[in-house]
Amino acid sequence: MTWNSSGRLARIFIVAFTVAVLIYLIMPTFVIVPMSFSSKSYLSFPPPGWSLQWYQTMTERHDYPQAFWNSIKIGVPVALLSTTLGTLAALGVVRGRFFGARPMSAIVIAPLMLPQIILAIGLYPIMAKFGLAGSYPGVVIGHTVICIPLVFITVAASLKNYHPAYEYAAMTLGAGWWSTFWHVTFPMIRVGVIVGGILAFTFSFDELIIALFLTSPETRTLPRLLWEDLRQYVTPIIAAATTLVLCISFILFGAVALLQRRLSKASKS
Amino acid sequence: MSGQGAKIEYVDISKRYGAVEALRPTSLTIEAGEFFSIIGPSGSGKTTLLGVTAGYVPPTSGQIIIDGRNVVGEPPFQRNIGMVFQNYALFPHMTVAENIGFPLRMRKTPRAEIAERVKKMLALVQLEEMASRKPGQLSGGQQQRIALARAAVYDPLMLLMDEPLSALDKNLREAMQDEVKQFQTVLGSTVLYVTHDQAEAAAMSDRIAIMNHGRIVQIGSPRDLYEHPVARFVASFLGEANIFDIESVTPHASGSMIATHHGFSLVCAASGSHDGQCVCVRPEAVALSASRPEHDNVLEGKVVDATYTAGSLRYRVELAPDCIITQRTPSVRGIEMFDTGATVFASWRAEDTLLVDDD
Amino acid sequence: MTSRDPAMRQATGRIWSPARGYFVILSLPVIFLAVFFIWPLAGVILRSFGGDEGIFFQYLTVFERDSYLKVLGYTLQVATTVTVLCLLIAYPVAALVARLQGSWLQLAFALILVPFWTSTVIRTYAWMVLFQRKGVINDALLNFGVIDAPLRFMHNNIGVHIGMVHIMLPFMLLPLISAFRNIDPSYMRAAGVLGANPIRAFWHVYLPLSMPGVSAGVALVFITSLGFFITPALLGGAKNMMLAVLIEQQVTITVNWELASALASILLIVTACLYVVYDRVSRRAGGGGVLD
Ligand SMILES: Nc1ncnc2c1ncn2[C@@H]1O[C@H](COP(=O)(O)OP(=O)(O)OP(=O)(O)O)[C@@H](O)[C@H]1O
Ligand SMILES: [Mg+2]
Repeated sequence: MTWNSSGRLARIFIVAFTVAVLIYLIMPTFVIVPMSFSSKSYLSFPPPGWSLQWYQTMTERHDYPQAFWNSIKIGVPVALLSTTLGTLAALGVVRGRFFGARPMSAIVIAPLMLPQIILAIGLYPIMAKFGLAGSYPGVVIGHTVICIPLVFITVAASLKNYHPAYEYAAMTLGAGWWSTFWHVTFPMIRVGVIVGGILAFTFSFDELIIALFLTSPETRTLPRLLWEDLRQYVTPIIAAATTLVLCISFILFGAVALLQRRLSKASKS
Repeated sequence: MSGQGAKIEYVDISKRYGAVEALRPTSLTIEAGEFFSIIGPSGSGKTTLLGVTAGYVPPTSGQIIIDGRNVVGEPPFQRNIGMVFQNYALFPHMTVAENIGFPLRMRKTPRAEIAERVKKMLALVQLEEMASRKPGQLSGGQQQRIALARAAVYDPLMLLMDEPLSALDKNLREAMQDEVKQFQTVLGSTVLYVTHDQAEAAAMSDRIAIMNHGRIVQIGSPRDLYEHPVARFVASFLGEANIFDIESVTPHASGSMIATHHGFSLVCAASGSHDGQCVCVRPEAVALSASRPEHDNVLEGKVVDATYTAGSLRYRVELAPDCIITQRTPSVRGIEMFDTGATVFASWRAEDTLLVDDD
Repeated sequence: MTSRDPAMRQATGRIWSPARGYFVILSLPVIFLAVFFIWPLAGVILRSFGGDEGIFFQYLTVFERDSYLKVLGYTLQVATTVTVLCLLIAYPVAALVARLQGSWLQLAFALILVPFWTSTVIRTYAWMVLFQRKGVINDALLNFGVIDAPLRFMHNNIGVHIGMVHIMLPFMLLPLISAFRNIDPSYMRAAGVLGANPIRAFWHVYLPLSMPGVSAGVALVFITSLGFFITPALLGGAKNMMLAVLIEQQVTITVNWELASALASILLIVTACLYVVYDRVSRRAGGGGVLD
């Protein structure tokens, strides 16, 4: 065999392998979607018949809608709080080149690197001490800790894209700290900030471990409810709820993809 | 628009970044309405001096007194100083008019007045029709003029410019030099101008300061600096210079007699000690001839090479092993040229043998 | 006014500087994290030394009891296997994807990013559905006559590995793709021109140049796998337990906070050390640290 023909064979193999791996990445998740429209109560594929009964059951039960709204009620403040704090952190680390900025940025990144179970069992006693265990503020704070680095990374990347001279220029022209941020810095990093906020919301919307420790049956989030149901029975209600979550995730994913495309177009022109 | 810029005094101003002394204690006075340039090699502290003046770089020590008021410690947004940044730093998300109006907006100027002053400024830089464009849609020269307009629209006490023309190509740069100078004359502002380019500085400035290693080495008019450099660095940074190291100095009828490292002696009109000094001779001061002339300094050598460029003819002549002198004359039509290898005599007046500090 | 006096202002350190402003800006999030991140972690470490039985009692328990040592060993083993599997699968895929252009590249990126946006609970649930006794996989295998009786995927090693590789794969793919995209194809061509056969060119040119991506991916996958909770909890069995699952059980079932804290502290220290080592290595390799 020559190098050429064995090379072609290798190439065909790699292409086939890649396609298989991409299918492996995507398919399992989407198997759930048709099952949520099943007419029977067991999960088989393809479903024996079609119906919307599981969606109806889901909305009629009180726990699923409650958990869904809890997830929103927790995710939105998490996004706002972590966007604010993460943006401040990125500004401080990227723009302020003072002694100690590096160890401080290590602290800001660290929550993303550590297993969440450690933070969960660390936060629980503290929240309990302040009477916040099981409350909305408790879990919002827990999620914010982990979302700050998410926002930090995206905003820091936007900040590094342009020179600090813009801010100095604004200041020599008479803009104070707030005006400089609002009129100059923010418009230039806006996409990064919004993407960071969406990432934070998505994280909070999907997060389980912190929610497991810091929510109560009244404040529990959708992932926690799914988790509790999963351990008992695998019914198509879960598939229906999952499909709903998937839809929301993909709307957000699409929004971020669009934003980033606009950003890369803007930076090219 | 106000007629007069401010007078600014630096008293022992310095800036240190960790171990790097970006700016050594420097004292300097710039008169009201003066066009003052700073030139120096990369990393010599020019931008640092501007940053300290604008206020976003806190100095390590010293005072900056503008019209009698020490501004050190004040934030940039209270100093009322205009600055044109190296890459203009025009805000990309604002139109040209919004950019120019920005400082007025920050000063809570009424809308109508902002519109009027922006219009006046655009007229001054001849870009009225660009008002609603974004900076990204302008050419380099146009951006430059907008940056100038933005820095001047609020009648700042002084204008700082950090290599404002360095991004432009040569022809545009020369045209813009005249425009900037014109702009300053109309407004009567005090300008502190930073550049790499000595010709640019010479063309525009009342006075020039030469910086090296965070220190101002010499201040003077362009002519002063060229004709009376005080240091070897100044002599070789501005134009070309032949530098000879000194072995010893002895008094002489018309000044002093200097023995160089290379074994020959030079007559110098000035008298000096040779401690830490060296000799500088400008290429234009040297004359070449085929036969030995009567002159204060005459040295025999061999022509190494000759370069003919537009406007000047440049010879390099070997006076001794490892000792080459450069000579330059205007290249007039039909000028007779020496062959490479020819024996020639280089001569110059005693007054053209300059004693400068060795650094 | 005395505050106008420069000597006074310098003495009190009140000179305006951007660094001071940014310091104040940064201090807000850092204070937040100090209270809600550093303090909880410190609490975990302190609690691990607490209890009535003595300071090191919990650690001695962990290292003396076979069952706990087994959990530590199993956690390391799973993290290692998952990392190796991810690397082997991701390397050729990333090499191919990195060479795609235009909309093919965007499609591949979308397919890799979709799992990122899907909750881990949901993805694990999907595997539970597929792995059932009468699930899609068993059905297919039975129909094609590969097997005679349904296989058990769940509550054993196979399920945990398949599920975790599925979840960690994008974390390996993305750094690898970005590393491959930074390799100038002309290097490979140059190697070809210089007479290196494809295998030697790969070994001496491509592989070394892709190392930054490999080390980033390996570090990310290994560190994340060590603390993995959801997938092993749902797909794993009671016999083989991973560390994070054990910690959760110690808190919620046994209510032994001291032991849970000791286990968490071990996980914390191992993770932090790996992270620091990785940061050093990647900075020495010139790729810039994780923090840059
Ligand atoms: N933010 C900073 N941190 C540390 N060192 C700095 C900083 N800014 C400048 N320096 C150092 O201070 C010295 C002077 O820098 P400066 O920018 O003033 O030079 P310059 O004369 O403007 O040079 P150029 O002509 O290249 O613009 C340099 O050695 C530079 O490395
Ligand atoms: Mg500079």
